[in-house]
Amino acid sequence: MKLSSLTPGSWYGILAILQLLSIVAALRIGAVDLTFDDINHILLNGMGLSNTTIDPISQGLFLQIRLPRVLLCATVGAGLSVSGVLMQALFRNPIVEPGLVGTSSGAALGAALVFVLGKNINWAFTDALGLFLLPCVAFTFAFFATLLVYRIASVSGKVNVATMILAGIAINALATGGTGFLSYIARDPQARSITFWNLGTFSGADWTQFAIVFPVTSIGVLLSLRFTKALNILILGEDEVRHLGYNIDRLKIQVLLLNTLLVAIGTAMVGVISFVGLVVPHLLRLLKTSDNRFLVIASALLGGSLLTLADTLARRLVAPAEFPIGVITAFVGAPVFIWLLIRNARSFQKGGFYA
Amino acid sequence: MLKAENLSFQIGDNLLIDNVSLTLLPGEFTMVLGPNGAGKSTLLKLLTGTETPRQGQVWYGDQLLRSIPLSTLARQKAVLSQLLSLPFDLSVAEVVMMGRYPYFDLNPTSLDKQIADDCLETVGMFSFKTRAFASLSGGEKQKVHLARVLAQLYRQAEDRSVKYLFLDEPISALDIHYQHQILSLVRELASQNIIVFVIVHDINLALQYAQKVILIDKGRIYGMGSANEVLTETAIEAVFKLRPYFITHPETGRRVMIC
Repeated sequence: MKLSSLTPGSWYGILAILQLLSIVAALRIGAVDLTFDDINHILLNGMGLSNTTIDPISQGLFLQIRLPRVLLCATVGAGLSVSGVLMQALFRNPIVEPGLVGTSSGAALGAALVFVLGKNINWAFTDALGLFLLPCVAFTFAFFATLLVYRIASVSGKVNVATMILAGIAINALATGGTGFLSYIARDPQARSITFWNLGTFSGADWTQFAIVFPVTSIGVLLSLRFTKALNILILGEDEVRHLGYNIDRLKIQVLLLNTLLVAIGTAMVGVISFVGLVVPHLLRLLKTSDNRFLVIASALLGGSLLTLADTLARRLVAPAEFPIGVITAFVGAPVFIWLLIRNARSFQKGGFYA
Repeated sequence: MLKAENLSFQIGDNLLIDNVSLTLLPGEFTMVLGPNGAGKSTLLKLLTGTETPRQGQVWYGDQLLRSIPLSTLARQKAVLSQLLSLPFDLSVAEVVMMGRYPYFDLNPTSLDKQIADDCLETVGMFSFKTRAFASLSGGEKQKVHLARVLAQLYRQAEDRSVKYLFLDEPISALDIHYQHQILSLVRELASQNIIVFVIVHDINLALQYAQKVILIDKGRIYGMGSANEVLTETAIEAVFKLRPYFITHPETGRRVMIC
């Protein structure tokens, strides 16, 4: 199917409906299935519009656990996918994702540091940051890890993909080593939270997390739209960005910061979730478009939907226990990634990635 | 008016541009010639601000190039460089629309779309509008990029400002029909208050189209002036190490070089 057969507007419509449907499905399905009637009554009661008697346990489950979890899931999915679009555009390479260039593992190291040492050492700013300590430290580590990979990859003046992937491997190894060391010295519950966190889980989702992640991600996605024109030009080359009126060096740093913000804020809350940032933009590129404006909006919607569905699976498959969601995204994402690699290798023979 | 004063540029110990000064006037179709590695593209990069000269300054009108904000500059100056392949595929329409990016915020207006279509029509590529850029031949790609820079400098009726157009070997992949079509087009643009700076290799095309020729050798200007003044037997022999012969075109009486 070609994008030209449907306007971007109608794609946004289709994806928005998909997002809504996945949220509704995720709200109903879980360790305890809720009916539409239940959800209706809970929502109407909550808004004070009706006064039906409902099971207080279902009500608590829905309002305090499931609703924030599903909304957080959609938000994180959107943030990760948009970050994938930004990274692929910035590195001018279609197989880049936040996990590959150190962003996720950097954030993971930062978070592990907070888990293990946060309570023990008395940093001057620990109290001041409070709730924001984890996101802030994760962001700082994620940013420096990504920056380091980017700097190493572009040491010859332009980004060298082979160097970038190798630098990514090195920085990932370093960060993973650091995280491993921290779980070695950690006490048992801390080590367990690091392990869970490395696989990603939404089980701890609550309204506070949503209240932090949602505004940051929304602002991040809206800001991303501002860079889409410049990132489109970057497909032609760095000099072209300048000739069409943008400062290329500033653009790189801004996009890198924005990307790190999007990844680190989600990762700090729910852990490392791989492959979403890679696969979602790719699925949309199958529509034969590389227009970053379209990719950012559509990835936000599709990424949110897919991660919501993945989390529903994670909750339902082994209920009442649950899978770490990172396991599911990896099981689904890795085969898709391999399929893309093979497809790319074939289309290279035809003279281009998406020819 | 574009003025460059004593430009020098070096990478390491390698002096690529050595004390070059020049003045370009609107309405003057300037062609730049010289052997490979003489510094033509480097000079173009210095004049467009892509590279910063080690010494010397570039003036656009009465403003220093460095002091003009990039977003303002993008509405005055367009550059067609020697482009490599694209990592992601785009449609022809998307590539041309990039030329209008400096003029709209997030979504192109109907005027922008109209201008993009007009410019594609001008280079004879309108029927390719929905094609994938990667599927085009080298010459077709060049024409689409040319349409893009035309869209960038497209002049509204009330706009009388001086514009700057830099082309780095714009016709290298074109057949002779399009070489002449594109150069005629560029010559016509030059007459519309646009400073045109074109790097070419074909000496006969320069003799036919250029109003001003800059011959560059080893980072210096070897000669600058009208095509007949600059492209003499001695100059070509000194710069290209090849002895040329000139004959007279039977119809136009123009000088034609053969080797």
